[in-house]
Amino acid sequence: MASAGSGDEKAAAAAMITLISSDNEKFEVTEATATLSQTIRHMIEDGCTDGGVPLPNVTSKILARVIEYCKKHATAAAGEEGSSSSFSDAAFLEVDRAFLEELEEFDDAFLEVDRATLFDLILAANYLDIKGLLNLTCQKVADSVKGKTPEQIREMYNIVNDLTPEEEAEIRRETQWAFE
Amino acid sequence: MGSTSPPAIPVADDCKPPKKRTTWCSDQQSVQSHGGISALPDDILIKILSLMTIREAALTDCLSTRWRHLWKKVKNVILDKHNFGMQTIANPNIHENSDLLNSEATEFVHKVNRVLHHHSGNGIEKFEVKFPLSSTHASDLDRWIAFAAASSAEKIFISLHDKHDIGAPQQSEPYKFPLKEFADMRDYCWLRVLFLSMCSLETVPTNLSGFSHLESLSLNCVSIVDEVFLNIASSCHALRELWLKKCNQLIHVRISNSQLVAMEVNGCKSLISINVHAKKLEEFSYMGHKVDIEYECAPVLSELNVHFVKRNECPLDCIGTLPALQTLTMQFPSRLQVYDNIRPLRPLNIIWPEDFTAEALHTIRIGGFSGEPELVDLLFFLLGRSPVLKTLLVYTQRRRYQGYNRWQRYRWTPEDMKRRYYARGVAFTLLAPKVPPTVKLTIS
Repeated sequence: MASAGSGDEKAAAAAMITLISSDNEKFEVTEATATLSQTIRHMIEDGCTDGGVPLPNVTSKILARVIEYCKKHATAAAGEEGSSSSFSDAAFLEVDRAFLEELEEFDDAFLEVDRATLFDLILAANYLDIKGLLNLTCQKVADSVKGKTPEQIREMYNIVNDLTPEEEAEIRRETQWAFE
Repeated sequence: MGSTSPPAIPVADDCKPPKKRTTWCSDQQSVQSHGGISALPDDILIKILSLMTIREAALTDCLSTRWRHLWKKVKNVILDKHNFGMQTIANPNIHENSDLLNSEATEFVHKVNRVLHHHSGNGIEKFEVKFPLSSTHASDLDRWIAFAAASSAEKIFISLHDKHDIGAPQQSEPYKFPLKEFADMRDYCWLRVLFLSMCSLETVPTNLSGFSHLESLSLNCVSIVDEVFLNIASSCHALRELWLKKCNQLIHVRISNSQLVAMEVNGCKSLISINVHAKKLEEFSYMGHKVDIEYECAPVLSELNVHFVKRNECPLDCIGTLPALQTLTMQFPSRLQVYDNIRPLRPLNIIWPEDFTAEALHTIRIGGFSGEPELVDLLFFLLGRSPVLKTLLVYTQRRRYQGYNRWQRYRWTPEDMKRRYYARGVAFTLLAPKVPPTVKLTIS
């Protein structure tokens, strides 16, 4: 793909991709933003993005959030490529740290969503294969379960216990070490 | 994908002040409309469980039939006190608490055995054991490592000490890591990263094929002799990174790995010589006493880090013959004696490289600079021999290299203020005027 070639950076930066949500809304994004998604990256490499990329599994509401995440993190990824040395200078590290803190704040704010949205974001990140977003959102769910008893987890996530009392007792015996 | 349309509610974070966070429990939005968390596909639930401690993951086994057995497929099997929710003993005095430590070890071993009894042993990415154990627990450890090897784990970390680097109680023998588990593994050698700490490596099987794809090998406080190391290293055809720290039985280390890119040798007390034959080696770090370093073949070595630990042994002959050297970092053990005033400095014994020219050197970093005249002279010498130098960094802060590219800064004391003030004064008045305008000097 000519526009993705490393030789002509201006052309690559200007290349735009159209993403189409399940409810037919169109989003114009730069290639750098879109390629945070491995799924879309492969589509671009295969040259099948002309006329837009339909994403039948992602609603416009969720896609807008996903793009918001990708835009922010695409900037971060560009910054990382710029630094080549592993033993960075002190001054550089200061700048780096400030930027990483900003990114962390962004991520924290980004995760301030209700659970249904969070699950949709997880599914979208999984489908679009955006590793960073998938990790971030899964970590949020994992953190919410930490330190909770099974009863509390069931209540929090409306999980209906369909095990018979005998089955549950048996499982609890098996995993007794985890309750100690 | 079970996801269809989201519920018609406003995006939560748009209508909340940014600093006020809602906790999960007070979140009023129900997930019923979606089927909730249980509707997520297996691989995502396993991913979520992999992000918890193994104990927390195991607790989900009894939530409902949907959750049964999922935790047995977690990708990261991390077995340490934290993951089992075990308390850390505040004062781990081995003599006073030996009974307590023994019963703790028994409890730990029991829990690990329960986990591994149930885990599916498939698709493990990282297998880690971190607990002070020794050869007294060899039969259990052997089984755990056999499990990790058979599970085709990509990364194996075995640290037989706690986070304070305190090993197993009693004067017991270090655990002998069973290399035989990695022999004759023609079809399924997935091991990429191996980290061993506080154990020993002895008998090397003839066909150590399980190491043939190993990319990163770290040995920390491992009892290993030259011959065993050579045998193991020669089986690591894909090795890219090598870290040797406190392997105190090594005397003559010979590295001959064609794929090696980075290596570090740190604090190996008995070491006499290092011989490097690595045509792709780019980065080499050495920390410790004076040893003979011979670069038999290192044509692309571009980054060299030397950390001197003894005041009377700062030999720089190790930088003499590297045509591709671009970045040189030197850490000196210098520290000013600060009492009421700055005392005269104790001399550093720096041995100068004789036939030194650095055609490609563009960055010099010098750490532990306290204004010593020897270091000022050294910098003048290096400036004169480095025609393309662009950056010179002088660090006056006290800091210590911990290995693995990590630095530790010391706690700030009032003495440090005085010391840095003096060191910076020397750097600005003596050094700065003689630095050519083409070189950017930074003093921090």
